[in-house]
Amino acid sequence: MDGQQGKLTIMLADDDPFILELYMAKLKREGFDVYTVGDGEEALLKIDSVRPDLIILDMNMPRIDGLEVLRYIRTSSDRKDMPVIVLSNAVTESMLKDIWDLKPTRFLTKRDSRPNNVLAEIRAVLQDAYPAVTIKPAAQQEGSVPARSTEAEKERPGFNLATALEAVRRLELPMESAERRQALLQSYKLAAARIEALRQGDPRALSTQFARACESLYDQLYSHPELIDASTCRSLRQATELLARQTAQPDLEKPAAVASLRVLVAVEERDVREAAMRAMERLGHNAVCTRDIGVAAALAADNAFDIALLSPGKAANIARLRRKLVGDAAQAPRHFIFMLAEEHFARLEDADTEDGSDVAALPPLASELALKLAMLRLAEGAAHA
Amino acid sequence: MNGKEQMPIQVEEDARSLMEEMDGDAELAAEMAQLFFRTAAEQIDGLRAGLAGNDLEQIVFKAHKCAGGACACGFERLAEQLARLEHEARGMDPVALAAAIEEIARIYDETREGVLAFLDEALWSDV
Repeated sequence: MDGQQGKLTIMLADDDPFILELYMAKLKREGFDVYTVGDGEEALLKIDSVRPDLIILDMNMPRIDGLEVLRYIRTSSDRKDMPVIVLSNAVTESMLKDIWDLKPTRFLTKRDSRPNNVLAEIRAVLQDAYPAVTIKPAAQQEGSVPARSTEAEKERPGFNLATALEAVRRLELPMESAERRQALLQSYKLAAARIEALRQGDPRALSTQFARACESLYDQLYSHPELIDASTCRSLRQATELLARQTAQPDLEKPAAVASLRVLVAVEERDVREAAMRAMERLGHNAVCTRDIGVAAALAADNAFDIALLSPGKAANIARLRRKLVGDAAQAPRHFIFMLAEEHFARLEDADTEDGSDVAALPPLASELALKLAMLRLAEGAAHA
Repeated sequence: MNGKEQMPIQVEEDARSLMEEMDGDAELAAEMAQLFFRTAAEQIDGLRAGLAGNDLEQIVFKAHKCAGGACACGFERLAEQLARLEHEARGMDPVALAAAIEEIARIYDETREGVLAFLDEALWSDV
């Protein structure tokens, strides 16, 4: 930071020249010093001489990728607290976990973030990191086009309702009619609006209400797993996590009444199993994982699990699977989630789910939402008890 | 196309989106639009080259890159088509791929023509 003028320096690291030019123009208008680099190697070479106050980092760059740059920053003794906004698109599931582990200050996807949204995040991050510096508000030009919605005005650091809604709106909905698509979008908006309303209310009254509002929002997606994509999950997750933090609820992911769930994961498909384990790890719960239903039954006989996440595979019958797991168990799992390919949904009978068991469609992203839903249900049940 | 009155509604929305993102600065919006369209034209050429060379990875990569820029500009129709191609290219046969790429090229042309006309008009109205 330039101490005399209080001017902040932002480094942009991206291999797309258009993105660099666009954000350089925007940021310079805001009065920031801007330094651009086209790959990770250049970022690492310049970081010590430029000494930026904030880095906006793409992940998928040539030579050295953004993840390595982020790792360097977070493991460097004098750089580890530097604010880093990851602005990327090309992120694999495993990369996403690595990114989260390195704790970027923000994670934004290019697809879901317009330049003005990104700018709002930059201002918020800088204001948090350098409270003594006054970050000037957005440049207002004479004759500027008024914003089409007031959502931008509602944005707060961290919880970005506009981004979350935008992510939902941008989903490619394989719907049979425009009316149905519109109805679904409307229900997402209503659920999100409920969260927004709660957020502006009294934080002390939030815990159960908030869980319900979140459940409603997730339920919409859970009912339609075909609509889920990674960026939606990230946006919603980011929104709810930060919202929970802001509203003084200690940790939405681990409500006090069910601080640490014991989860039995018995899934044959490796990718589904790994995704479920990653979800458990992120959510801070204790999970035991196996691909063999016999092993799962033995584990269930000796341990009390809160949730059993099971994939019946191609042949198994859900009722038989449940019996096998419950048969010898000293204490049956409190909640079952069955995961199966959509073409096997027809095999489901009413009896399979009448006890409240969830059924989630493969692929794995659905399992994360199903788990989330189950945990919120358990949390709500515990709160009522 | 001459003037925004003849422009499809979606293209006018695209142009307004870009103006919004550039805080109403028509000159900056025009500069960014020119840069985007130049970059996007190269990327669409890359899509065609990927199709000719049966290189699905190149198609996915170019569609991905171009979609990022289109999103940043607020060109929704173009961004949606590119995102669809990015996600579905691997499951498409060559005929469907070719049709999808040409549809993108058509939307690109329409967007370019309409947006630049809109911005041109906005620039002249400032004089």
